[in-house]
Amino acid sequence: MKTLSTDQIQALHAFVKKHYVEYYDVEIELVDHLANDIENQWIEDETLSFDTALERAFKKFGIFGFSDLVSIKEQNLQNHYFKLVGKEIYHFFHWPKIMLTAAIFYILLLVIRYASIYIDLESLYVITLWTVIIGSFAFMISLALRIKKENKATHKKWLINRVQLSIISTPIILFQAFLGFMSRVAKQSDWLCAGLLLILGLWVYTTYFVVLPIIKREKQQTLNKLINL
Amino acid sequence: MKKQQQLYKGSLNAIIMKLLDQNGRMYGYEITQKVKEVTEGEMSLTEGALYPALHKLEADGFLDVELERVDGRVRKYYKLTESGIKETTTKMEELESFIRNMQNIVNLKLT
Repeated sequence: MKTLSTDQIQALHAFVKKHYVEYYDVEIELVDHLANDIENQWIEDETLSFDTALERAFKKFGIFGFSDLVSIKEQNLQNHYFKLVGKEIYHFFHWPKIMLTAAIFYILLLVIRYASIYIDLESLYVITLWTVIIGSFAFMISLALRIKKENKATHKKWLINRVQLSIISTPIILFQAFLGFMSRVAKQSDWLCAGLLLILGLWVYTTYFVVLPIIKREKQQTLNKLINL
Repeated sequence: MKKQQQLYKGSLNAIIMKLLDQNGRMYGYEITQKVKEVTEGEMSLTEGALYPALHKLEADGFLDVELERVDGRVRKYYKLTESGIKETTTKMEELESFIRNMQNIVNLKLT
């Protein structure tokens, strides 16, 4: 059976990259698929050129080629980790964690009531939320720089890294959305504000301290599998 | 043929999971070829449908991945996880029930 040479496999890697697949974890699977298809075509007709066989193999991916596969995979991964965030937050509203949630809520309420004696609540919320937004943003930038350094060192990009950045950016978006609303209701309901701060706090905790370590662990597992090959 | 393709699109996950259940572990291209072989070329699993389905099942925790170097390239094998095995049983029961109901409707005799 005629098989692909090392140069031809390298050509497949270049081909997949050229067709907008920049992530190595997606690239390896597509290279193997194309290689299998080409070798299968050679069983039928050994005289078929590599380029013609590749063209035929690629056509089977439809008019959008690989671009759809990458975006769907990214979406699936994002949804998976968003669901994890949701699931973790859900646990905070069920036994036994709900006791802890209730305690945090009560403490927040007391802090808000005590703070309102000394400072304007609107300013307090704006300062608190902006501190968290800037902190989260700084963390995101540092992670993005670490990823960039890692990509440069390994000459490879990973889809999981992109997903990781999307997941950790959600608290920033959420905080910005809540910022305006909380400023408006600051003086009307301390219960509502304590509740909103609680949800935001749980979101940040779950994203950074529960889901992010899971993503890092899963990424490391994939890397280890590749290193051991 | 085209109509058959449409019908089985809805059962794609069940088909993939059943094949993995029977064969232990498989890679993408192998799955497309197996479908062709089993249906004697009547049905073909397109690449554009297969990989999104595999990646979704993987993200949902129903599939685990093994990487192996084969003929100078990296091959990604998929296999069912514990929850994937349970889900396969559920999906097959749903599919069988659907087929049974369809047969009952198709074979319905007007009296």
